[in-house]
Amino acid sequence: MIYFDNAATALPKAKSVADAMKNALEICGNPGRSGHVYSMKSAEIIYECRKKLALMFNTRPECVIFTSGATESLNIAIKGTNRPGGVTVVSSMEHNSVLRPLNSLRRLGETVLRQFLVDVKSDARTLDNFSTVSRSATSVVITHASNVCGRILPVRQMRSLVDNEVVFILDASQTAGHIPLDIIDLGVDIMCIPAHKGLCGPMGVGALIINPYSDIIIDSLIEGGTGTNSKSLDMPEYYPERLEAGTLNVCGIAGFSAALDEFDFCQSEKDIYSFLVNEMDNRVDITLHGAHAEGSAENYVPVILFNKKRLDCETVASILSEKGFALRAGFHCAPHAHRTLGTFETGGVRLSLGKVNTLDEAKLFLKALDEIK
Amino acid sequence: MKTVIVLSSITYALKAQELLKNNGIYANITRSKAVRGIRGCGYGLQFDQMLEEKAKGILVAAGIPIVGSTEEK
Repeated sequence: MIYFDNAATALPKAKSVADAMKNALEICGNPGRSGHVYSMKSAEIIYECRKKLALMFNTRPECVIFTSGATESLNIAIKGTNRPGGVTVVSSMEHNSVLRPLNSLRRLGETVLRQFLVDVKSDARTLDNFSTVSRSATSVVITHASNVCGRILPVRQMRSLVDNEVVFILDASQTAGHIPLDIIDLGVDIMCIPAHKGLCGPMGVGALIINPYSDIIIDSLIEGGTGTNSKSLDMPEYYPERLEAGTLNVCGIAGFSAALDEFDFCQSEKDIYSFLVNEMDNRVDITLHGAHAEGSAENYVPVILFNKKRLDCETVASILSEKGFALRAGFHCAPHAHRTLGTFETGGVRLSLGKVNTLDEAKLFLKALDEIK
Repeated sequence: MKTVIVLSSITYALKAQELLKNNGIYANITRSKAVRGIRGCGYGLQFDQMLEEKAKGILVAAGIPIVGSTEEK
């Protein structure tokens, strides 16, 4: 089976990831709870992972908050920073991990939502659209790259168009591990990432990365034990423990840490992406949505949405699966993105590359795609 | 005599320990009675009392919040 569903989760994971998780399962106590060797060993593993992420994203270790994934990170970021009467701006390409918590706040009357249209062919038009709706915004929550079509949004420029007081939250689920991310350079307050996609760590772990120069206050969504100052009924004042109630997923974080040791950016992803877009765009029975042969690979993470003429997307994905190719069809938990791309009625088939995919695999895929009638 | 500086969490205790080590001060992480007296359950860094002012200066300069300090034998 050739795996082309890396936007859902990266496969395969390195053996060292599983080894680290197994090791943690065998030797780790509960971190930050006791002074014995089992608890301290666990705490050191956690701290090492914080340091690696801090280095990778240019923040401090205490500004790395571990969560169960980007969805939890986004919920904490969105709900923990929302203040009544706020106006939140989102793009037209958001995943439900952004849209659903915001919709929940909107229904409670806790925020007003405004959406700007992303033009996948023009950053200038996207920025114009953003600028129009972001006047008097109190927060911005946007995806860095679409999980549906891979288009990267001009986040740095958007940040410069709003006041510093505007809370800027970035969903970096599809860019973390595919392009370098510097939270200070991007200028965002919070960046939410999963361990298990571009960074090739295990599922069930993610992080909320806080800009060390941001004075944002994030309220906790979940309160509980943190291992210190137990006599107080309040969550700690300082990060990260302020937002980490309960026992951390130590095995998952150990695996994440091992994945970071193996990590490297992969130029071949871009090359294979460009090859596939060019080939598929030149096939009369294939429609690409959101990407085109004239576009620059620099504006995309390696995610391609397509449809085969006169065939339902789930049928195409099912046939490809029988032929040995793993892709995802449907709406990809991003209804507005499909509306933006014109595929709200049909959905589409999504091919998403990973670090181990090869040009030969891409050629085999095209051959299989051509055989589907 | 040893000084025990109490930090707000295990994360800060580990960060402070590493920072002090990089500056030539070797500290042990402790959950001793001294810590409990200041913070309830928590973590402290124990080191030679002679180095207390230097250590505090390093940690404060790095923005590490110190909850309190005490001494123990």
